[in-house]
Amino acid sequence: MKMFDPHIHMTSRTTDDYAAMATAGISVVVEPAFWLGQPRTHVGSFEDYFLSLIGWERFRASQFGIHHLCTIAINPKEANNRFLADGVLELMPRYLEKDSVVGVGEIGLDDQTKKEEKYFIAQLELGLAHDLPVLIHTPHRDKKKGFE
Amino acid sequence: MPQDPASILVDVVCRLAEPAARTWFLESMADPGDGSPQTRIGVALAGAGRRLGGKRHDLAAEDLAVLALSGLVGVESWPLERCARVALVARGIEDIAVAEHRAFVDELFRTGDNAEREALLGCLCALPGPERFQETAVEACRTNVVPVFEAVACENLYPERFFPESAFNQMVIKAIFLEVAVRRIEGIERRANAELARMATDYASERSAAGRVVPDDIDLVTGFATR
Repeated sequence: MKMFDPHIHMTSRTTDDYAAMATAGISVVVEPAFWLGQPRTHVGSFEDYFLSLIGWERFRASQFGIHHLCTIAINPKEANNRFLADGVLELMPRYLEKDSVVGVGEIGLDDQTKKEEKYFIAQLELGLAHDLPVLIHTPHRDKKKGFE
Repeated sequence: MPQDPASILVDVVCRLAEPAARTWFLESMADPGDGSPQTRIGVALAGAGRRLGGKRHDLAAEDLAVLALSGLVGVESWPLERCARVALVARGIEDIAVAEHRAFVDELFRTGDNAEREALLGCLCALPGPERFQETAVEACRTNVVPVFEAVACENLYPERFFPESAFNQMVIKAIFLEVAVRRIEGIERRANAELARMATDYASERSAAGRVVPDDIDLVTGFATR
């Protein structure tokens, strides 16, 4: 049976994981752009991350017969850094055109701040402009209110 | 019949693309004169796959011959989106000041995904003043994304024509390392040299010492150099 994993962060996984996934029958994955754990301090870090999703990660997956797709965005947590968020929004019109980018994400709310809302809406509009679906991240904390 | 390579590629894309994709392509090629050609071409290079993907071209032998004369080889296997990408670069560079060409090509490489990089590397010979893009081509050899490496190293006249000996040698050894057939490297016989033979011999020795298989290609490399 072939399987499709619509939300997996291969950046955080090893090549052995790819081998296990291929054995299990996973043939397509979507890897959303997210917060890496270590906060980014430069817009260039986002650009290099997007490039790794469409470049190296796509190739790494292909070595196991897995078709790698991705979504790109400024994630809710780092949207609180206006400098980074504005810089990523400038990158997105080019990167949303790339072959393996199938959506805008992960976008949504984290602490549910005004800045997070602003960049959430801006990226929803980018999704509309590029005719792409969006992938929503709901808050880990105060989730019910955030979802509403 | 058009005789310049860019026109041949533009014509085949326009002829085979769906109407909406054709419109997008022609709009992307046009220079409105009010913005940055670099950005316009970079965005279009990215979007060509989504709009033209899955199609093949039907270029005739005489067109392929014209393209080959300009340094574009292996075109018979190109998907239509690669024809579009090469047309965008070859035509787009005409809208950019000569002093900015090197930065333009380097930026397209730096921000390109794997398919964009393959298209760019495969057309460097056909661009004006191709010797200027040596740094980008040599940088491309540092990739471990095998199809991108193959795009610069295999069925591509650029390394044979423009790489200094040290870069050419490193590329050949990298091909052996990645298990890419060295026979696919254009000019592998003409550019063979003693230092390359020494590097290949040492590589074979390292592999043997580590109890690993020595690729058969090594004999070709050492053989060319000692002839």
